[in-house]
Amino acid sequence: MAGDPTLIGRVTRSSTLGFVGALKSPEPEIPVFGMFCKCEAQRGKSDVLGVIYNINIEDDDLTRQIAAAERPTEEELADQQYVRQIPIEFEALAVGYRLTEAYFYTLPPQPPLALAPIRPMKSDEIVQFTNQFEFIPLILSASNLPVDALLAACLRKASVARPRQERQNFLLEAGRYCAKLLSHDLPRMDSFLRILCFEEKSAI
Amino acid sequence: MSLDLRKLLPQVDLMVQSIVSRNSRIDALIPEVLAAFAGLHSDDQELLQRKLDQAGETWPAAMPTDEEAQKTYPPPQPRREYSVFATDGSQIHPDRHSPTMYYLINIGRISLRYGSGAPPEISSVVKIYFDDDDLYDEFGSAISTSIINGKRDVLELESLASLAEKSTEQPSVALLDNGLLLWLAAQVGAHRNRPIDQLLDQYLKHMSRLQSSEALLAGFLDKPRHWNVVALLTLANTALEDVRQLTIKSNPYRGIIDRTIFSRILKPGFRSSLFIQRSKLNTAFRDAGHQVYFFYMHTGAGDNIVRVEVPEWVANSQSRLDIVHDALLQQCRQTEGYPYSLVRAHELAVVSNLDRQNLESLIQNRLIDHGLSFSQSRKAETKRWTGRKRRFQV
Repeated sequence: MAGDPTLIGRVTRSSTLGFVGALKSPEPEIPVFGMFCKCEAQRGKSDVLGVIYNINIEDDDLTRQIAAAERPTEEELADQQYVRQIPIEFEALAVGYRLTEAYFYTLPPQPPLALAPIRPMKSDEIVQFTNQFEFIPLILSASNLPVDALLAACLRKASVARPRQERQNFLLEAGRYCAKLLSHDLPRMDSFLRILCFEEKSAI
Repeated sequence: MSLDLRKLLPQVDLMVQSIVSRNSRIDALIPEVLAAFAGLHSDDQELLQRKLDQAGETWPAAMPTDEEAQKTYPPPQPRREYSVFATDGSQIHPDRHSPTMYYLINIGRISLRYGSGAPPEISSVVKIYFDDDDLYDEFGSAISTSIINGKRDVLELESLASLAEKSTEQPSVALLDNGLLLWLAAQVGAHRNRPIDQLLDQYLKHMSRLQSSEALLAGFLDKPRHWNVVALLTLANTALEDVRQLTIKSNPYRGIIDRTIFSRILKPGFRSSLFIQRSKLNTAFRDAGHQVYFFYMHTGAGDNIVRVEVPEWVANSQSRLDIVHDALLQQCRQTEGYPYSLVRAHELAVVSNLDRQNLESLIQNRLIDHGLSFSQSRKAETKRWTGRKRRFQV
Protein backbone atom coordinates (compact mmCIF):
# COMPACT_ATOMS: atom_id res chain seq x y z
CA MET A 1 0.00 0.00 0.00
CA ALA A 2 1.22 3.46 -0.85
CA GLY A 3 3.10 5.04 2.06
CA ASP A 4 3.78 1.78 3.89
CA PRO A 5 5.29 -0.95 1.73
CA THR A 6 5.02 -3.49 4.55
CA LEU A 7 1.26 -3.14 4.83
CA ILE A 8 -0.99 -5.38 2.73
CA GLY A 9 -4.24 -3.95 4.00
CA ARG A 10 -6.42 -3.62 7.07
CA VAL A 11 -8.86 -6.02 8.67
CA THR A 12 -12.51 -5.42 7.82
CA ARG A 13 -13.90 -8.49 9.61
CA SER A 14 -12.45 -11.46 11.40
CA SER A 15 -13.07 -14.58 13.41
CA THR A 16 -10.83 -17.13 15.06
CA LEU A 17 -10.93 -19.07 11.77
CA GLY A 18 -9.43 -16.25 9.75
CA PHE A 19 -9.70 -12.64 8.73
CA VAL A 20 -10.70 -10.52 5.79
CA GLY A 21 -8.69 -7.48 4.78
CA ALA A 22 -9.22 -4.67 2.31
CA LEU A 23 -6.87 -2.51 0.33
CA LYS A 24 -7.28 0.16 -2.30
CA SER A 25 -5.20 -1.28 -5.11
CA PRO A 26 -2.88 -4.27 -5.27
CA GLU A 27 0.88 -4.14 -5.86
CA PRO A 28 2.22 -6.71 -8.31
CA GLU A 29 3.39 -9.02 -5.51
CA ILE A 30 0.95 -8.34 -2.70
CA PRO A 31 -1.43 -9.78 -1.91
CA VAL A 32 -1.08 -13.08 -3.75
CA PHE A 33 -2.71 -16.47 -3.34
CA GLY A 34 -0.94 -18.64 -0.76
CA MET A 35 0.94 -15.74 0.83
CA PHE A 36 1.79 -15.92 4.54
CA CYS A 37 0.62 -12.90 6.47
CA LYS A 38 0.29 -11.77 10.06
CA CYS A 39 -1.98 -9.53 12.00
CA GLU A 40 -1.85 -8.20 15.55
CA ALA A 41 -4.38 -9.48 18.06
CA GLN A 42 -4.91 -9.27 21.82
CA ARG A 43 -3.73 -5.65 21.81
CA GLY A 44 -0.35 -6.55 20.34
CA LYS A 45 0.25 -9.51 22.62
CA SER A 46 -0.04 -12.01 19.79
CA ASP A 47 0.13 -12.19 16.02
CA VAL A 48 -2.45 -14.25 14.15
CA LEU A 49 -0.77 -15.99 11.22
CA GLY A 50 -2.74 -16.57 8.06
CA VAL A 51 -2.49 -17.70 4.47
CA ILE A 52 -4.36 -15.82 1.78
CA TYR A 53 -6.82 -18.10 0.03
CA ASN A 54 -9.00 -15.66 -1.87
CA ILE A 55 -8.68 -12.22 -3.42
CA ASN A 56 -11.90 -10.57 -4.39
CA ILE A 57 -12.38 -7.43 -6.47
CA GLU A 58 -15.82 -5.92 -6.09
CA ASP A 59 -17.68 -4.35 -8.97
CA ASP A 60 -20.36 -1.71 -9.17
CA ASP A 61 -22.60 -0.16 -11.81
CA LEU A 62 -19.95 2.28 -13.08
CA THR A 63 -17.34 -0.47 -13.43
CA ARG A 64 -19.80 -2.61 -15.35
CA GLN A 65 -20.71 0.36 -17.56
CA ILE A 66 -17.05 1.03 -18.42
CA ALA A 67 -16.41 -2.68 -18.98
CA ALA A 68 -19.27 -2.81 -21.46
CA ALA A 69 -18.22 0.39 -23.25
CA GLU A 70 -17.01 -0.01 -26.80
CA ARG A 71 -13.73 1.84 -26.45
CA PRO A 72 -12.92 2.88 -22.90
CA THR A 73 -10.04 5.34 -22.83
CA GLU A 74 -6.73 4.38 -21.25
CA GLU A 75 -7.14 7.18 -18.70
CA GLU A 76 -10.57 6.02 -17.58
CA LEU A 77 -9.36 2.43 -17.36
CA ALA A 78 -6.41 3.58 -15.25
CA ASP A 79 -8.82 5.52 -13.07
CA GLN A 80 -10.95 2.45 -12.47
CA GLN A 81 -7.95 0.18 -11.89
CA TYR A 82 -5.64 2.34 -9.78
CA VAL A 83 -7.43 5.39 -8.43
CA ARG A 84 -11.09 4.76 -7.79
CA GLN A 85 -11.82 3.63 -4.27
CA ILE A 86 -13.20 0.17 -4.83
CA PRO A 87 -11.68 -1.93 -2.08
CA ILE A 88 -10.03 -5.16 -2.98
CA GLU A 89 -10.86 -7.78 -0.39
CA PHE A 90 -8.63 -10.66 0.50
CA GLU A 91 -9.43 -13.53 2.81
CA ALA A 92 -6.90 -15.30 4.98
CA LEU A 93 -7.22 -18.62 6.76
CA ALA A 94 -5.76 -18.67 10.28
CA VAL A 95 -3.02 -21.34 10.43
CA GLY A 96 -1.47 -20.51 13.79
CA TYR A 97 -0.32 -17.68 15.98
CA ARG A 98 2.80 -16.29 17.58
CA LEU A 99 2.92 -15.50 21.27
CA THR A 100 6.09 -14.27 22.98
CA GLU A 101 8.29 -15.40 20.08
CA ALA A 102 6.90 -18.95 20.10
CA TYR A 103 4.79 -20.33 17.27
CA PHE A 104 1.58 -22.27 17.92
CA TYR A 105 0.00 -24.45 15.27
CA THR A 106 -3.62 -24.08 16.21
CA LEU A 107 -6.38 -21.52 15.97
CA PRO A 108 -5.64 -18.24 17.76
CA PRO A 109 -7.23 -17.42 21.11
CA GLN A 110 -8.69 -14.17 19.78
CA PRO A 111 -9.17 -12.75 16.28
CA PRO A 112 -7.63 -9.44 15.25
CA LEU A 113 -9.72 -6.31 15.65
CA ALA A 114 -11.26 -4.42 12.75
CA LEU A 115 -8.74 -2.16 10.97
CA ALA A 116 -5.73 -3.98 12.45
CA PRO A 117 -2.85 -3.78 9.95
CA ILE A 118 -2.13 -6.94 7.97
CA ARG A 119 1.50 -7.41 6.98
CA PRO A 120 3.34 -10.04 4.97
CA MET A 121 5.45 -12.44 7.06
CA LYS A 122 9.17 -11.93 6.50
CA SER A 123 11.27 -14.74 5.01
CA ASP A 124 12.92 -15.64 8.33
CA GLU A 125 9.49 -15.75 10.03
CA ILE A 126 8.12 -18.03 7.31
CA VAL A 127 11.13 -20.32 7.65
CA GLN A 128 10.77 -20.50 11.43
CA PHE A 129 7.02 -21.08 11.25
CA THR A 130 7.24 -23.75 8.53
CA ASN A 131 10.14 -25.63 10.12
CA GLN A 132 7.33 -27.69 11.59
CA PHE A 133 4.53 -28.99 9.39
CA GLU A 134 1.74 -28.81 11.97
CA PHE A 135 0.09 -25.94 10.08
CA ILE A 136 -0.65 -28.32 7.18
CA PRO A 137 -3.56 -30.16 8.87
CA LEU A 138 -5.24 -26.81 9.55
CA ILE A 139 -5.16 -26.01 5.85
CA LEU A 140 -6.26 -29.47 4.73
CA SER A 141 -9.17 -29.49 7.16
CA ALA A 142 -10.59 -26.16 6.03
CA SER A 143 -13.94 -26.63 4.40
CA ASN A 144 -15.16 -25.06 1.17
CA LEU A 145 -11.71 -23.80 0.24
CA PRO A 146 -9.40 -24.86 -2.61
CA VAL A 147 -7.20 -26.46 0.04
CA ASP A 148 -4.92 -28.55 -2.21
CA ALA A 149 -3.99 -25.62 -4.45
CA LEU A 150 -3.68 -23.40 -1.36
CA LEU A 151 -1.38 -25.81 0.44
CA ALA A 152 0.79 -26.27 -2.64
CA ALA A 153 1.09 -22.50 -3.07
CA CYS A 154 1.96 -22.08 0.63
CA LEU A 155 4.62 -24.75 0.48
CA ARG A 156 6.12 -23.08 -2.57
CA LYS A 157 6.24 -19.76 -0.71
CA ALA A 158 7.82 -21.49 2.27
CA SER A 159 10.43 -23.14 0.04
CA VAL A 160 11.46 -19.92 -1.72
CA ALA A 161 11.90 -18.30 1.69
CA ARG A 162 14.75 -20.77 2.22
CA PRO A 163 18.25 -20.83 0.68
CA ARG A 164 18.21 -22.36 -2.80
CA GLN A 165 20.04 -25.53 -1.70
CA GLU A 166 17.40 -26.29 0.98
CA ARG A 167 14.28 -25.80 -1.12
CA GLN A 168 14.04 -29.22 -2.76
CA ASN A 169 14.58 -31.03 0.50
CA PHE A 170 11.94 -28.91 2.21
CA LEU A 171 9.37 -29.69 -0.47
CA LEU A 172 10.22 -33.41 -0.36
CA GLU A 173 9.75 -33.52 3.41
CA ALA A 174 6.52 -31.53 3.17
CA GLY A 175 5.30 -33.85 0.40
CA ARG A 176 5.96 -36.93 2.57
CA TYR A 177 4.08 -35.32 5.48
CA CYS A 178 1.11 -34.53 3.26
CA ALA A 179 1.17 -38.06 1.76
CA LYS A 180 0.71 -39.49 5.27
CA LEU A 181 -2.25 -37.18 5.91
CA LEU A 182 -3.86 -38.01 2.58
CA SER A 183 -3.06 -41.73 2.55
CA HIS A 184 -6.76 -42.55 2.98
CA ASP A 185 -7.58 -40.74 -0.26
CA LEU A 186 -5.19 -41.90 -2.98
CA PRO A 187 -6.72 -40.03 -5.96
CA ARG A 188 -6.57 -36.78 -4.00
CA MET A 189 -3.00 -37.46 -2.86
CA ASP A 190 -1.99 -38.14 -6.45
CA SER A 191 -3.60 -34.89 -7.60
CA PHE A 192 -2.00 -32.92 -4.77
CA LEU A 193 1.47 -34.31 -5.44
CA ARG A 194 1.13 -33.34 -9.10
CA ILE A 195 0.31 -29.75 -8.09
CA LEU A 196 3.21 -29.78 -5.66
CA CYS A 197 5.61 -31.09 -8.34
CA PHE A 198 4.55 -28.24 -10.59
CA GLU A 199 5.11 -25.75 -7.75
CA GLU A 200 8.46 -27.38 -7.03
CA LYS A 201 9.65 -26.92 -10.60
CA SER A 202 8.75 -23.25 -10.53
CA ALA A 203 10.32 -22.73 -7.10
CA ILE A 204 13.65 -24.40 -7.69
CA MET B 1 -45.60 1.78 6.29
CA SER B 2 -47.15 5.21 6.97
CA LEU B 3 -48.10 5.97 3.40
CA ASP B 4 -51.49 4.47 2.59
CA LEU B 5 -51.07 3.62 -1.10
CA ARG B 6 -54.70 2.50 -1.36
CA LYS B 7 -55.85 6.00 -0.48
CA LEU B 8 -53.41 7.49 -2.96
CA LEU B 9 -54.36 5.27 -5.87
CA PRO B 10 -57.27 7.43 -7.16
CA GLN B 11 -55.04 10.53 -6.99
CA VAL B 12 -52.24 8.74 -8.84
CA ASP B 13 -54.76 7.76 -11.53
CA LEU B 14 -55.86 11.38 -11.85
CA MET B 15 -52.25 12.49 -12.11
CA VAL B 16 -51.51 9.97 -14.87
CA GLN B 17 -54.65 10.99 -16.79
CA SER B 18 -53.55 14.62 -16.54
CA ILE B 19 -50.07 13.73 -17.89
CA VAL B 20 -51.60 11.77 -20.79
CA SER B 21 -53.89 14.63 -21.72
CA ARG B 22 -51.09 17.22 -21.43
CA ASN B 23 -48.81 15.06 -23.61
CA SER B 24 -51.46 14.76 -26.33
CA ARG B 25 -51.97 18.55 -26.27
CA ILE B 26 -48.19 19.03 -26.59
CA ASP B 27 -47.89 16.42 -29.37
CA ALA B 28 -50.57 18.25 -31.36
CA LEU B 29 -48.69 21.55 -30.96
CA ILE B 30 -45.27 20.26 -31.91
CA PRO B 31 -45.60 20.61 -35.73
CA GLU B 32 -46.56 24.26 -35.21
CA VAL B 33 -43.66 24.86 -32.84
CA LEU B 34 -41.19 23.19 -35.20
CA ALA B 35 -42.49 25.30 -38.09
CA ALA B 36 -42.08 28.44 -35.99
CA PHE B 37 -38.55 27.37 -35.15
CA ALA B 38 -37.73 26.71 -38.81
CA GLY B 39 -38.94 30.18 -39.72
CA LEU B 40 -37.17 31.97 -36.90
CA HIS B 41 -34.16 33.12 -38.89
CA SER B 42 -36.19 34.40 -41.83
CA ASP B 43 -38.42 36.44 -39.47
CA ASP B 44 -37.84 40.15 -39.33
CA GLN B 45 -34.92 40.27 -36.88
CA GLU B 46 -35.47 43.91 -36.10
CA LEU B 47 -39.10 43.22 -35.20
CA LEU B 48 -38.09 40.25 -33.09
CA GLN B 49 -35.63 42.44 -31.22
CA ARG B 50 -38.39 45.01 -30.58
CA LYS B 51 -40.60 42.26 -29.22
CA LEU B 52 -37.78 41.09 -26.95
CA ASP B 53 -37.33 44.65 -25.70
CA GLN B 54 -41.08 45.02 -25.11
CA ALA B 55 -41.28 41.73 -23.25
CA GLY B 56 -38.45 42.75 -20.93
CA GLU B 57 -36.17 40.45 -18.98
CA THR B 58 -38.97 38.87 -16.99
CA TRP B 59 -40.12 36.97 -20.08
CA PRO B 60 -37.61 34.13 -20.23
CA ALA B 61 -37.02 34.21 -24.00
CA ALA B 62 -33.55 33.35 -25.23
CA MET B 63 -31.81 35.84 -27.48
CA PRO B 64 -30.59 34.59 -30.85
CA THR B 65 -26.92 35.06 -31.71
CA ASP B 66 -24.97 35.32 -34.95
CA GLU B 67 -25.44 31.59 -35.43
CA GLU B 68 -28.62 30.85 -37.41
CA ALA B 69 -31.11 29.62 -34.83
CA GLN B 70 -32.22 26.48 -36.67
CA LYS B 71 -28.76 25.46 -37.83
CA THR B 72 -27.19 22.39 -36.24
CA TYR B 73 -23.50 21.59 -35.88
CA PRO B 74 -22.01 18.11 -36.39
CA PRO B 75 -19.54 16.55 -33.96
CA PRO B 76 -16.10 18.11 -34.43
CA GLN B 77 -13.10 15.97 -35.38
CA PRO B 78 -12.27 14.11 -32.13
CA ARG B 79 -9.10 15.23 -30.39
CA ARG B 80 -6.91 12.69 -28.69
CA GLU B 81 -5.10 15.04 -26.35
CA TYR B 82 -6.91 17.39 -24.02
CA SER B 83 -7.46 17.84 -20.30
CA VAL B 84 -10.68 17.89 -18.36
CA PHE B 85 -11.18 19.30 -14.88
CA ALA B 86 -14.42 18.74 -13.05
CA THR B 87 -15.74 19.54 -9.60
CA ASP B 88 -18.92 18.80 -7.76
CA GLY B 89 -20.07 19.65 -4.28
CA SER B 90 -22.18 18.21 -1.53
CA GLN B 91 -23.19 19.52 1.87
CA ILE B 92 -24.61 18.74 5.28
CA HIS B 93 -27.08 21.43 6.26
CA PRO B 94 -27.31 22.56 9.90
CA ASP B 95 -29.73 20.56 11.99
CA ARG B 96 -30.96 22.14 15.19
CA HIS B 97 -31.85 18.68 16.50
CA SER B 98 -28.20 17.64 16.33
CA PRO B 99 -25.95 17.75 19.41
CA THR B 100 -24.21 20.79 17.95
CA MET B 101 -24.83 23.29 15.17
CA TYR B 102 -22.56 23.15 12.16
CA TYR B 103 -22.66 22.72 8.44
CA LEU B 104 -20.24 21.11 6.06
CA ILE B 105 -19.30 21.47 2.41
CA ASN B 106 -17.36 18.78 0.56
CA ILE B 107 -16.02 19.38 -2.95
CA GLY B 108 -14.87 16.48 -5.14
CA ARG B 109 -12.22 17.32 -7.76
CA ILE B 110 -10.78 15.40 -10.68
CA SER B 111 -8.22 16.19 -13.41
CA LEU B 112 -7.99 13.90 -16.41
CA ARG B 113 -5.31 14.24 -19.09
CA TYR B 114 -6.61 12.39 -22.12
CA GLY B 115 -3.92 11.11 -24.43
CA SER B 116 -1.42 10.72 -21.57
CA GLY B 117 -2.49 7.20 -20.55
CA ALA B 118 -2.05 8.34 -16.94
CA PRO B 119 -4.68 7.83 -14.27
CA PRO B 120 -6.50 10.98 -13.18
CA GLU B 121 -5.61 13.05 -10.14
CA ILE B 122 -8.43 13.14 -7.62
CA SER B 123 -8.87 15.07 -4.42
CA SER B 124 -11.52 16.55 -2.21
CA VAL B 125 -11.75 19.72 -0.20
CA VAL B 126 -13.86 19.52 2.92
CA LYS B 127 -14.65 22.23 5.46
CA ILE B 128 -16.83 22.31 8.52
CA TYR B 129 -18.42 25.65 9.50
CA PHE B 130 -19.21 26.13 13.17
CA ASP B 131 -18.52 29.76 14.18
CA ASP B 132 -21.45 32.00 15.01
CA ASP B 133 -20.43 34.18 12.04
CA ASP B 134 -20.85 31.13 9.83
CA LEU B 135 -24.12 30.00 11.34
CA TYR B 136 -26.06 33.25 11.81
CA ASP B 137 -26.59 36.29 9.64
CA GLU B 138 -26.21 39.89 10.76
CA PHE B 139 -29.78 39.85 12.17
CA GLY B 140 -29.15 36.73 14.22
CA SER B 141 -31.21 34.46 11.99
CA ALA B 142 -29.88 31.00 11.21
CA ILE B 143 -28.11 30.78 7.88
CA SER B 144 -30.47 29.62 5.16
CA THR B 145 -29.91 26.43 3.18
CA SER B 146 -29.93 28.47 -0.04
CA ILE B 147 -26.96 30.55 1.18
CA ILE B 148 -25.11 27.33 2.06
CA ASN B 149 -25.87 25.97 -1.40
CA GLY B 150 -24.65 29.26 -2.87
CA LYS B 151 -21.40 28.94 -0.92
CA ARG B 152 -21.07 25.40 -2.25
CA ASP B 153 -21.50 26.66 -5.82
CA VAL B 154 -18.81 29.29 -5.25
CA LEU B 155 -16.46 26.66 -3.78
CA GLU B 156 -17.07 24.36 -6.76
CA LEU B 157 -16.01 27.14 -9.12
CA GLU B 158 -13.08 28.14 -6.91
CA SER B 159 -11.83 24.53 -6.92
CA LEU B 160 -12.22 24.37 -10.66
CA ALA B 161 -10.19 27.58 -11.05
CA SER B 162 -7.46 26.17 -8.76
CA LEU B 163 -7.21 22.99 -10.84
CA ALA B 164 -7.05 24.99 -14.07
CA GLU B 165 -4.40 27.37 -12.73
CA LYS B 166 -2.18 24.48 -11.66
CA SER B 167 -2.25 22.88 -15.10
CA THR B 168 -0.13 23.84 -18.06
CA GLU B 169 -1.90 21.45 -20.41
CA GLN B 170 -3.83 22.94 -23.33
CA PRO B 171 -6.50 22.68 -24.42
CA SER B 172 -8.42 22.07 -21.26
CA VAL B 173 -12.10 22.02 -20.42
CA ALA B 174 -13.41 22.89 -16.95
CA LEU B 175 -16.75 21.28 -16.19
CA LEU B 176 -19.48 22.06 -13.70
CA ASP B 177 -22.55 19.94 -13.10
CA ASN B 178 -24.78 22.98 -13.23
CA GLY B 179 -25.75 26.07 -15.15
CA LEU B 180 -23.23 28.90 -15.01
CA LEU B 181 -25.46 31.61 -13.58
CA LEU B 182 -25.13 31.47 -9.80
CA TRP B 183 -28.41 29.74 -8.89
CA LEU B 184 -28.78 31.52 -5.57
CA ALA B 185 -28.61 34.94 -7.22
CA ALA B 186 -30.92 33.79 -10.02
CA GLN B 187 -33.54 32.69 -7.49
CA VAL B 188 -33.71 35.94 -5.55
CA GLY B 189 -33.82 38.10 -8.68
CA ALA B 190 -33.87 41.76 -7.74
CA HIS B 191 -34.00 40.99 -4.01
CA ARG B 192 -30.29 40.48 -3.57
CA ASN B 193 -28.71 41.28 -0.24
CA ARG B 194 -25.15 41.77 0.94
CA PRO B 195 -24.24 38.09 1.54
CA ILE B 196 -25.60 37.15 -1.88
CA ASP B 197 -23.77 40.02 -3.55
CA GLN B 198 -20.56 38.94 -1.83
CA LEU B 199 -21.01 35.39 -3.08
CA LEU B 200 -21.76 36.65 -6.58
CA ASP B 201 -18.61 38.81 -6.55
CA GLN B 202 -16.52 35.81 -5.52
CA TYR B 203 -18.18 33.65 -8.16
CA LEU B 204 -17.43 36.17 -10.92
CA LYS B 205 -13.85 36.51 -9.67
CA HIS B 206 -13.34 32.75 -10.04
CA MET B 207 -14.80 32.91 -13.53
CA SER B 208 -12.15 35.53 -14.34
CA ARG B 209 -9.47 33.22 -12.91
CA LEU B 210 -10.69 30.47 -15.21
CA GLN B 211 -10.65 32.82 -18.16
CA SER B 212 -7.05 33.81 -17.38
CA SER B 213 -6.05 30.17 -17.06
CA GLU B 214 -7.39 29.59 -20.60
CA ALA B 215 -9.43 26.62 -19.45
CA LEU B 216 -12.72 26.45 -21.34
CA LEU B 217 -15.51 26.62 -18.79
CA ALA B 218 -18.78 24.77 -19.44
CA GLY B 219 -21.82 24.03 -17.31
CA PHE B 220 -23.51 20.74 -18.12
CA LEU B 221 -27.25 20.34 -17.44
CA ASP B 222 -28.73 16.91 -17.81
CA LYS B 223 -32.46 16.63 -18.50
CA PRO B 224 -32.96 20.41 -18.67
CA ARG B 225 -36.47 21.78 -18.30
CA HIS B 226 -35.74 25.28 -19.60
CA TRP B 227 -38.10 26.79 -22.14
CA ASN B 228 -36.09 29.84 -23.21
CA VAL B 229 -36.16 28.93 -26.92
CA VAL B 230 -39.87 28.09 -26.75
CA ALA B 231 -40.45 31.48 -25.11
CA LEU B 232 -38.61 33.08 -28.03
CA LEU B 233 -40.88 31.25 -30.49
CA THR B 234 -43.92 32.46 -28.55
CA LEU B 235 -42.67 36.02 -28.99
CA ALA B 236 -42.03 35.46 -32.69
CA ASN B 237 -45.65 34.31 -33.12
CA THR B 238 -47.17 37.15 -31.07
CA ALA B 239 -48.04 40.50 -32.60
CA LEU B 240 -45.90 43.35 -31.27
CA GLU B 241 -48.90 45.10 -29.74
CA ASP B 242 -49.86 41.93 -27.82
CA VAL B 243 -46.42 41.26 -26.35
CA ARG B 244 -47.09 43.22 -23.18
CA GLN B 245 -50.16 41.09 -22.44
CA LEU B 246 -48.15 37.89 -22.73
CA THR B 247 -48.11 35.85 -19.55
CA ILE B 248 -46.88 32.40 -18.72
CA LYS B 249 -50.49 31.23 -18.34
CA SER B 250 -51.58 32.70 -21.65
CA ASN B 251 -48.57 31.23 -23.47
CA PRO B 252 -50.01 28.99 -26.23
CA TYR B 253 -46.95 26.75 -26.01
CA ARG B 254 -47.20 26.32 -22.25
CA GLY B 255 -45.77 22.98 -21.13
CA ILE B 256 -43.41 22.60 -24.10
CA ILE B 257 -39.76 22.71 -23.17
CA ASP B 258 -36.69 23.33 -25.36
CA ARG B 259 -35.62 19.71 -25.05
CA THR B 260 -38.83 18.63 -26.83
CA ILE B 261 -37.87 20.70 -29.87
CA PHE B 262 -34.21 19.77 -29.98
CA SER B 263 -34.87 16.07 -29.50
CA ARG B 264 -36.61 16.26 -32.91
CA ILE B 265 -33.95 18.36 -34.57
CA LEU B 266 -30.56 17.23 -33.30
CA LYS B 267 -28.94 14.10 -34.68
CA PRO B 268 -26.65 12.08 -32.38
CA GLY B 269 -23.54 14.12 -31.52
CA PHE B 270 -24.89 17.35 -33.04
CA ARG B 271 -25.27 20.61 -31.16
CA SER B 272 -27.73 23.42 -31.67
CA SER B 273 -26.87 27.03 -32.36
CA LEU B 274 -25.88 29.30 -29.54
CA PHE B 275 -28.42 31.40 -27.68
CA ILE B 276 -28.05 33.96 -24.92
CA GLN B 277 -29.98 33.63 -21.70
CA ARG B 278 -31.72 36.94 -21.09
CA SER B 279 -31.99 37.89 -17.43
CA LYS B 280 -30.96 40.66 -15.08
CA LEU B 281 -28.41 38.32 -13.61
CA ASN B 282 -26.87 37.60 -16.99
CA THR B 283 -26.57 41.35 -17.50
CA ALA B 284 -24.40 41.42 -14.36
CA PHE B 285 -22.40 38.55 -15.82
CA ARG B 286 -22.09 40.43 -19.12
CA ASP B 287 -20.84 43.53 -17.30
CA ALA B 288 -18.14 41.35 -15.71
CA GLY B 289 -17.19 39.92 -19.13
CA HIS B 290 -18.80 36.53 -18.54
CA GLN B 291 -22.19 36.69 -20.28
CA VAL B 292 -23.68 33.21 -20.38
CA TYR B 293 -24.57 31.54 -23.70
CA PHE B 294 -26.09 28.12 -24.12
CA PHE B 295 -26.64 25.43 -26.68
CA TYR B 296 -28.34 22.05 -26.69
CA MET B 297 -26.48 18.89 -27.58
CA HIS B 298 -27.45 15.30 -28.43
CA THR B 299 -25.01 13.25 -26.38
CA GLY B 300 -25.18 10.31 -28.75
CA ALA B 301 -26.87 8.06 -26.21
CA GLY B 302 -30.53 7.25 -26.87
CA ASP B 303 -32.37 10.54 -27.34
CA ASN B 304 -30.47 12.30 -24.59
CA ILE B 305 -30.54 16.07 -25.08
CA VAL B 306 -28.52 18.17 -22.66
CA ARG B 307 -28.02 21.87 -22.23
CA VAL B 308 -24.50 23.28 -22.14
CA GLU B 309 -23.77 26.75 -20.84
CA VAL B 310 -20.56 28.59 -21.70
CA PRO B 311 -19.28 32.09 -20.95
CA GLU B 312 -18.85 34.59 -23.77
CA TRP B 313 -15.08 34.03 -23.96
CA VAL B 314 -15.81 30.44 -25.01
CA ALA B 315 -18.89 31.23 -27.10
CA ASN B 316 -17.11 33.86 -29.18
CA SER B 317 -14.58 31.43 -30.64
CA GLN B 318 -15.59 28.64 -33.01
CA SER B 319 -12.46 26.62 -32.19
CA ARG B 320 -13.12 26.87 -28.43
CA LEU B 321 -16.73 25.84 -28.90
CA ASP B 322 -15.56 22.87 -30.97
CA ILE B 323 -13.20 21.78 -28.19
CA VAL B 324 -16.00 21.92 -25.60
CA HIS B 325 -18.45 20.15 -27.94
CA ASP B 326 -15.92 17.39 -28.74
CA ALA B 327 -14.74 16.94 -25.14
CA LEU B 328 -18.31 16.59 -23.88
CA LEU B 329 -19.19 14.04 -26.54
CA GLN B 330 -16.10 11.99 -25.75
CA GLN B 331 -16.78 12.26 -22.02
CA CYS B 332 -20.35 11.07 -22.52
CA ARG B 333 -19.44 8.07 -24.63
CA GLN B 334 -18.53 5.61 -21.88
CA THR B 335 -21.25 6.65 -19.50
CA GLU B 336 -24.24 6.82 -21.84
CA GLY B 337 -24.79 10.52 -21.87
CA TYR B 338 -23.26 12.04 -18.76
CA PRO B 339 -19.60 13.16 -18.61
CA TYR B 340 -17.28 10.65 -16.97
CA SER B 341 -15.41 13.37 -15.08
CA LEU B 342 -18.64 14.63 -13.52
CA VAL B 343 -19.64 11.10 -12.52
CA ARG B 344 -16.35 10.80 -10.65
CA ALA B 345 -16.44 14.32 -9.18
CA HIS B 346 -19.89 13.57 -7.81
CA GLU B 347 -18.68 10.28 -6.38
CA LEU B 348 -15.88 12.12 -4.58
CA ALA B 349 -18.20 14.82 -3.30
CA VAL B 350 -21.25 12.97 -2.13
CA VAL B 351 -21.87 12.88 1.62
CA SER B 352 -24.02 9.88 2.43
CA ASN B 353 -26.30 9.43 5.42
CA LEU B 354 -23.75 7.01 6.79
CA ASP B 355 -20.98 9.65 6.43
CA ARG B 356 -23.16 12.06 8.33
CA GLN B 357 -23.86 9.56 11.11
CA ASN B 358 -20.13 8.79 11.39
CA LEU B 359 -19.27 12.48 11.58
CA GLU B 360 -21.89 13.05 14.27
CA SER B 361 -20.53 10.12 16.29
CA LEU B 362 -17.04 11.60 15.99
CA ILE B 363 -18.28 14.99 17.19
CA GLN B 364 -20.14 13.38 20.10
CA ASN B 365 -17.07 11.39 21.13
CA ARG B 366 -14.86 14.48 21.03
CA LEU B 367 -17.41 16.42 23.10
CA ILE B 368 -17.40 13.65 25.71
CA ASP B 369 -13.57 13.58 25.71
CA HIS B 370 -13.68 17.25 26.71
CA GLY B 371 -16.23 16.63 29.44
CA LEU B 372 -19.03 18.30 27.51
CA SER B 373 -22.46 16.87 27.67
CA PHE B 374 -24.73 16.91 24.70
CA SER B 375 -28.24 15.91 24.08
CA GLN B 376 -30.18 15.16 21.01
CA SER B 377 -33.53 16.84 20.76
CA ARG B 378 -36.46 14.75 21.90
CA LYS B 379 -37.85 15.06 18.39
CA ALA B 380 -34.68 13.60 16.85
CA GLU B 381 -34.63 10.83 19.43
CA THR B 382 -38.27 9.87 18.88
CA LYS B 383 -37.75 10.00 15.11
CA ARG B 384 -34.91 7.53 15.59
CA TRP B 385 -37.24 5.21 17.54
CA THR B 386 -39.98 5.29 14.96
CA GLY B 387 -37.71 5.42 11.92
CA ARG B 388 -36.45 1.91 12.52
CA LYS B 389 -37.91 -1.05 10.74
CA ARG B 390 -41.25 -1.82 12.26
CA ARG B 391 -42.28 -5.11 13.67
CA PHE B 392 -45.85 -4.72 12.55
CA GLN B 393 -47.31 -2.87 9.65
CA VAL B 394 -49.94 -0.32 10.65
